[in-house]
Amino acid sequence: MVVADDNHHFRAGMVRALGNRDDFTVLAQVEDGAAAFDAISRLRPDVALVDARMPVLDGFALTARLKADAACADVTVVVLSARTDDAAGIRAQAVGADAYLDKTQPRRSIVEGVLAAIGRTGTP
Amino acid sequence: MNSRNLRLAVRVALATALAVVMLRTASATTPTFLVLGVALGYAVMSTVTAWRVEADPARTSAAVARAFADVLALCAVIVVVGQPPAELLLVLCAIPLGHALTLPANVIAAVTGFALVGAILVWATGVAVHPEASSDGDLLIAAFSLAASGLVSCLIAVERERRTTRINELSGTLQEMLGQVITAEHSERRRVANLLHDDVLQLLLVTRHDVADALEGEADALPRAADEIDLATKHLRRTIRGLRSDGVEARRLGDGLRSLAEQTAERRRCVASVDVTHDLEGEHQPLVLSLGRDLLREVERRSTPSKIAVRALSRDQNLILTVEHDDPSYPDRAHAESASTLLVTVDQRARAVGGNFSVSRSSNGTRTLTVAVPLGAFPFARSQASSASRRPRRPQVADRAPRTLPTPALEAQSDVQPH
Repeated sequence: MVVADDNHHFRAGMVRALGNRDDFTVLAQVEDGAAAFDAISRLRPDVALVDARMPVLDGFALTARLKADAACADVTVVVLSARTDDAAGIRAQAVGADAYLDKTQPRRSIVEGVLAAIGRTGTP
Repeated sequence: MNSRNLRLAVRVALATALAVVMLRTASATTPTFLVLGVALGYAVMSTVTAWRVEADPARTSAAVARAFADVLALCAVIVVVGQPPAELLLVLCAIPLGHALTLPANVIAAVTGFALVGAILVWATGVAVHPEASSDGDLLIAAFSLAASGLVSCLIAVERERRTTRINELSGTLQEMLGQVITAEHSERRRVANLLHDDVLQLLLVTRHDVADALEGEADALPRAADEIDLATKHLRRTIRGLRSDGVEARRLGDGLRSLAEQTAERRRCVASVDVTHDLEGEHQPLVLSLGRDLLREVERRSTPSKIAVRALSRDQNLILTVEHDDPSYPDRAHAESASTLLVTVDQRARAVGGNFSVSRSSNGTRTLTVAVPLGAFPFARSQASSASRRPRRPQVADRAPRTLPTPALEAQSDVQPH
């Protein structure tokens, strides 16, 4: 899994929560969209957990770029956002994200959301 | 019939009535004939002008009413007095031209030329309708009076048009500045929103996650949450400090500049000195303080200086404000302005009051942002200063000596990076 979020504290918390589980290995954690694309292209993770709002390349643009790239199109992309309106979710769906999760919910719920997204796409 | 057509109809009727009066006047003297001729010419020309130029309806209506009243007065004088003195009629000749002050200079010149040529033609060739009204000295005097009053009207109109052009220029500048202010406001709002989203909101979300983890029994989640709340509080305080501009409201230039420099030094964690000459120390200069605030913000955002020096002095009837810093990587004016809305607005505000703005660099790498504004451009400021000077002054620690502002201990120990 690759975790991309420009906020160090949030990223560290998610990596910690995912690291506590046996079924996840965090291959890389990055703080902007361009670095995320490089890491995902290079490491080919099963899942990419990306923040909607990041410098250089935001989560939506990153998702669109990943889905347009044949080598990365099968990566399950989960977009996270703190926005409470529906616009971000609709946009995430439009660019091809596999799941959109509310960043304000507890980490456990986010992890469950990631698991559900993997189950839906059939990736172990 | 709309109001514009109605006004035109009134003017045409007036011109026709005057023409009829001219033709039917049995014993017209030269001045009488001239007055009627000029009034007729004025009515015709202003009708054409009102027809060709789209004017403010209210103003046009008022001008027509005044012209109508004046022509009626002229006719009344002629009818009542019977044989009015030539001097009186000559004075009355200038009244229609007075209305031309609301018209452009070229139209006034045309009206004057029309009347003048008409008068000279009458004098030179005589008039078929009223042969007795030709070739006397009064006609020439009246013609030269018309020429003189027309010339004065033209000069006044030219000056009025020059001022109108200047007002339009200033109005354009004002609109441009308003646009810049709106842009700056949006930019500032976006900056604050980003700060709140990227720093405070994210930390609060993480804190919430850690509190949830603590409630589920994770022992070290609670101290983490406490640290995150401290950090969020610190971010929030810094954002609030960045929004304040206490110095601009200061009644005294010296106090305001010191307050602004102090805030910048605190945020940038550098040393700032402020030097205000004694004659400007107590001045109330809101414009200069707002310029100073923006120069300091510019330095704060686009450079990483270790020292900032703010100076205010009066020279050649100008107030010179300089902000000097020691970051050599700061761009020259052309590059600085192209990338900075703040500097564009500083330049516009300085030029709007007849001043100027410049950025220079010295051989040792220091950059100086200088604004010069005329002292006389602030009648409000001067009067405030006069009243301020009558009040007892607070004792100043150092009126002329540069004052070094210490770096706040809290910020010096903070691990928060300046934004």
